[in-house]
Amino acid sequence: MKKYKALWFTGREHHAAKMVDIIRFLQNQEFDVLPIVANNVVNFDNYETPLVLNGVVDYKTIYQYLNTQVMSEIRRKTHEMTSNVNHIIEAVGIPVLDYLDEFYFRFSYREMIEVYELYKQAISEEKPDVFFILHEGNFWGKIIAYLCQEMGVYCVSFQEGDYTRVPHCQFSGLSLITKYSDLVCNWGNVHINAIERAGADVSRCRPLGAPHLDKFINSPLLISKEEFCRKFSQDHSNNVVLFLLPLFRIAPKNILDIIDDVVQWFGSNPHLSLILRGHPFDKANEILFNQKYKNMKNIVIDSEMELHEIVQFVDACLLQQTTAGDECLAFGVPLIEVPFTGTSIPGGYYEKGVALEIQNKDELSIIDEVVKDGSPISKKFLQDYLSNVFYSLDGRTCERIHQEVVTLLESKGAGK
Amino acid sequence: MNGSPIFLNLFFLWGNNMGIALVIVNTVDEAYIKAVKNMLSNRSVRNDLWVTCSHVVEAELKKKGLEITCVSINRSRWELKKIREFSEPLVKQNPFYDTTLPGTELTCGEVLFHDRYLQLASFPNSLPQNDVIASLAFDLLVAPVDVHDRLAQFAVRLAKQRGVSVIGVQNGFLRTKENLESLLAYDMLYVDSFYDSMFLQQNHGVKSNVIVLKDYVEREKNVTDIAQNLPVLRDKFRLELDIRHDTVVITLLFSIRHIWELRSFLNEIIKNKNQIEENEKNIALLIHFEGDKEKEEWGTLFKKENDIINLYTIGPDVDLLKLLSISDMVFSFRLNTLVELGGQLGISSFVYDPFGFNETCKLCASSNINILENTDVNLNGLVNQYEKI
Repeated sequence: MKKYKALWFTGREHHAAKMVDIIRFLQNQEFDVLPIVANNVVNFDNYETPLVLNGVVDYKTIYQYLNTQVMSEIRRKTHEMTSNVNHIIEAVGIPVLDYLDEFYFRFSYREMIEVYELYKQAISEEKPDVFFILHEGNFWGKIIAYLCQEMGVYCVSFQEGDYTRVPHCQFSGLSLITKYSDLVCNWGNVHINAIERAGADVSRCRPLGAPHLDKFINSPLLISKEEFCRKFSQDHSNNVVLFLLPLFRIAPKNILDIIDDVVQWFGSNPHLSLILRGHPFDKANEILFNQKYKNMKNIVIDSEMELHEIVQFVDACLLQQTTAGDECLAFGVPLIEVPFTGTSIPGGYYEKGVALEIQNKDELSIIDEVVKDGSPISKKFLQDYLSNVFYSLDGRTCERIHQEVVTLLESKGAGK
Repeated sequence: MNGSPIFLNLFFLWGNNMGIALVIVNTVDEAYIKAVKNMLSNRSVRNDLWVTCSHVVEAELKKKGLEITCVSINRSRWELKKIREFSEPLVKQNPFYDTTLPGTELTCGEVLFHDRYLQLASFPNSLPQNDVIASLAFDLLVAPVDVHDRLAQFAVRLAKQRGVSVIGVQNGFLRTKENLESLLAYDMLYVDSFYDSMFLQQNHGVKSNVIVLKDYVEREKNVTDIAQNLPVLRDKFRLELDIRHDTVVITLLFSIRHIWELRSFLNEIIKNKNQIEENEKNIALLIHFEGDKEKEEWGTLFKKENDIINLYTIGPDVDLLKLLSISDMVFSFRLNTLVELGGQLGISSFVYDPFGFNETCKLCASSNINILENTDVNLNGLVNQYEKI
C-alpha cells in the first residue's frame, strides 16, 4: 500500500500531456494516484481519449460518484442560482450576455454546480491527501482548488504555458492563479514574476522546471533526421527549418500573406526544408496548406509529430505570436521572429533579446545565415535566459517536484 | 392548447398600431420561416424587416426569394489590447461576477469569467451587430427560441427594455437540459408540439394561452402515415442491411456528451451477458454514432466493451427513419428526436438517465418514452417485456 493517496484532474488534452510524466513519476514513488476526469459539455470534448492515448488505463469519471443525494443538491442549487441570476438580469442586466450565447452562460453555472458537487463527493469517498491540477486558471481547476481548501485536502498545481505571454495579462485569471493552491510548481522565476505582476500571491510558488521536458532531455532522439527525411521525402543534406504558426484568431490579419512569403522564399531555396506546423487549435488550416503547397517538394505540413521530436534535428525556428519558442531554445534551436509589421512583436522573443527578427520578405535570407553559422546571440545570454524560464534543464524536474510535494505533506503529517 | 391549429390574430397585441416587425433568422429553417410568414400574414403590417448575422443564411434565403439583410460587419481582428480594455469593465462592474455558488464563497467570476467566458464571448462580432439592432426602431420582435443564437437573445432583451412585444418561434429541439434555466422572455411562443407546450407550462410557468402549435394537424398526419407504413419499411431496410427478420435490434445512440452513461449501460449488459445470450430471441446491439467525432473516438473509448460483447455500429449519416424502422428498441441518454419519434411511431423507446442527471423527467412529457433512472438495467427483462416480435 502506498504512503500517500492522490487524485489527479484531467479534462482536456493538454492537461494530460503536461502532467502525465510527473504523475507517472509520483506513482513510481510512494503515491497512489487516481485520475478523475470530468466532461466538458460546453465544448463537447471527449475527456477520456487523451488519457488513454497517454497510456493511462485506470481512471474514473466524476459521474461515477453520482447518487440520489448528490443529484438532489445539484437540482436545489441550480434552482437557487437560476433564481438569483434571473433577478440580476431583470433588475440590472448582465452585460456579458450581449456578447455570449445564453447557452454557454446558463449551462456554465449548472455545470459549475455539477462539478462542485461531484468532486466534493469524490473527495469525500476517496479521502486523498493531495489533489493535483494543472492550474487554477480554468473552470475545473478553480472549483477543485477551492474544494480542497474547504475540505482540508492539499492542492498542488502546475503550469500550462508561458505566463509572460498570456493575453490580457493584467486582467486575466493570472491574478487568481495561486488563490487556493498549497503549492504551485512553476517552470521558472520569470513566470513567477509574471504572476506577481498580475497581482497574485506568489508565496506558495516554487521555480522547479517544466516536468514534461524531462523525458526529452533524458531520452535519446525520438525521431532521427533520417526517419524524418524518409517519411517526408526530403533531401537528407537539407537544413531543416520549423515555422511555428500562431493561433489564427489572435494572429495579424495578413498572416496568410506572411506564411506565403516565407513559403515562396523556401520554394526558391531548395537546399532548405520547411516544416509548417499549425497551432494545435487550428487543425483546419493544415488542409488549406496541403492544398496550396502540395507541389512544393521542400515544404512539409505536419502537426502530428511532437514539437520535441522535431526540434531535435531542426536548425532554426520561425515564429509568429507563439509561446513555444522557449522550448525550441531549450533544445538549442535558434529563433527568428517574423512579424512583417515594421514593429517588433510586443513582449516577443526579439524584444527579450533571444531571437532575430525579419520584417519583410527581403530579409528572409537571414534564415540562410542562421542555419549555416548558428545564432549570433551570446550563448551565456541564452543560458541565463533559459534558467529564468525553466529553472534547470537537467532532466530532474520531476525529482524536485516530488521532493516539494513530500515536504508539504510531511509538514502537516499527511499520509499513512 | 391541445393541438388545434390556431394562428392567433396578433392584432390585439399591437392595438391599432400596425408597425414594423423585426424578424431575426439565423438558420435556414423553412419551417421557422413558414411559421413566421403565416403569423405575419394574418395582419397588415407597415413593414417587416428580416435580419440575420450570417452571410451564408442571407445568401441561401435570398435564393428562396426572401428579402433579408445581414447585419454582420466584418471587422479586422481586434487587437488583444482592445479586447482587454473592452472586457475588463464587463467583468469588474458585473453583479454576476460576485454571485457565489450557493452555500460557498466561490464566486462565479473566478470560475467562469477569466477563462471560459473570455474565450467564448465574441466581442468583435457581437458589438457591431448589436449596435445595428439597437439602432432599429421596431414595434414587434419575432425571434427564434434558441439559446445558441446570441443576436436573437440580445434583441429579445432589448425589446423587453423598450416595452416591445416579443414572439418566440421554435426552430430546434426545445426540451434540453440547458433550456431548463433559460429566460424565455416572450409574450407569445410558437412551438412544434404538444410536448414542447407542456415543457414550457410545467418548467417555465408559461400560460397555455400564449403558446401556439405550428402546423400540428399536418405533422400528426405525417407521423400517423409513417407509423402505418413502418412494417413495410422495416422489411425493406432490413433486407437492404442484411438483418434477419426475427433479430431483435436494440439501437443505442452514442454521443460524446454521454460516454459515461453508455459505458454504464454497456457494463450492465456485460454483467448479464449470459442471460442475454440464453434468451431465445436473437438480440443485436446496434450503436448509432451521433456524429463524425463519435465514429472517430468509438474504437479507442470502447475497445474493452467491443472485445467482450458483439456490438454493431451505424451512422452518423444514416437516415433517422431508416434507423427507426429496423429497430425494435431504441435507447438514448437524453431526450432527443430519435427516442421521441421512435415513441411516436410505436417503437419501444427508452432514455437511460442514471439518477436523472440529464433531467429527462423534467423534459419529457411524453408517455411514449420510458425513462430509466436506476443504474441497473435488466435488458433481458426489457426485451421480454417490450419487444413486439
